Amino acid sequence: MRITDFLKKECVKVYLQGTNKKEIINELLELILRDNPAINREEASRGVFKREKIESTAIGRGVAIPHARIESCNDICVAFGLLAADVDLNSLDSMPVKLVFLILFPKDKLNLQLRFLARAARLLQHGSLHDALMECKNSKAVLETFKNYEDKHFH
Amino acid sequence: MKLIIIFLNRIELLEDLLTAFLEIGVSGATVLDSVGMGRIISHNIPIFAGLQDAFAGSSPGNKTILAIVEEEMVKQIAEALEDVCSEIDDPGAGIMATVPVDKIFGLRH
Repeated sequence: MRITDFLKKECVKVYLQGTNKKEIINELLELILRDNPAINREEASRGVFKREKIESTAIGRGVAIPHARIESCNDICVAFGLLAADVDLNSLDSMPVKLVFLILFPKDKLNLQLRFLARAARLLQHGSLHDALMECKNSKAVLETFKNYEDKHFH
Repeated sequence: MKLIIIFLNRIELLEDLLTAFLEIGVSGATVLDSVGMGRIISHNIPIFAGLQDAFAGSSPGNKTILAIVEEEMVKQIAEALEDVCSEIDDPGAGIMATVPVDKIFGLRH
């Protein structure tokens, strides 16, 4: 399973303007909704913030992966954004977040969620990928960076 | 001879299962305390914390049972496991696998 099979250029933003968790998640959700009008905004938003209440998805090393499993989503929907400014998202290592994935999963596809989250979490543990992503000036460059990295490190 | 491995996710069934073992003639087995992967990922790895609801039925621990048995006992053990597990509505209550054993040392009759 490859992140780049699901991440579209239209759903990548350099840079996100939000200055707190709610604004950042809503900004990314907007990208997904624009690309997937069938998704129920209310359900998606409720699901993502409900998940955040269990434990922060800012998993450390500058990465946050807010996500939810919802009924109105038929396939994995992903949005990704870079943050120009340091934002505190209650990160587990107390470090500011720089890279944010928002992911919506179909409600009935638990295995898909496990596989995709695992790949995203493992991929974003690579410090050199962070550095490369932070150098990107547009969404095309972000996609190419992800693709090159997955080609090189995950077969 | 076969090594049987049983992952017993409903540990309340352990006593019934071991009693069934004795009835069949399995007089020795090793029972290990173990933990299922679902439990660990949803409770110990933060990114998977949202899956706690999906694994809500999982117990904090399960039991792994190992026993070396005569090949002809395997069918009876599998049936006993099925019988014990049929008491509860949980398709993952007990899972069994067998592995061929080519040599055994230290076993005294």
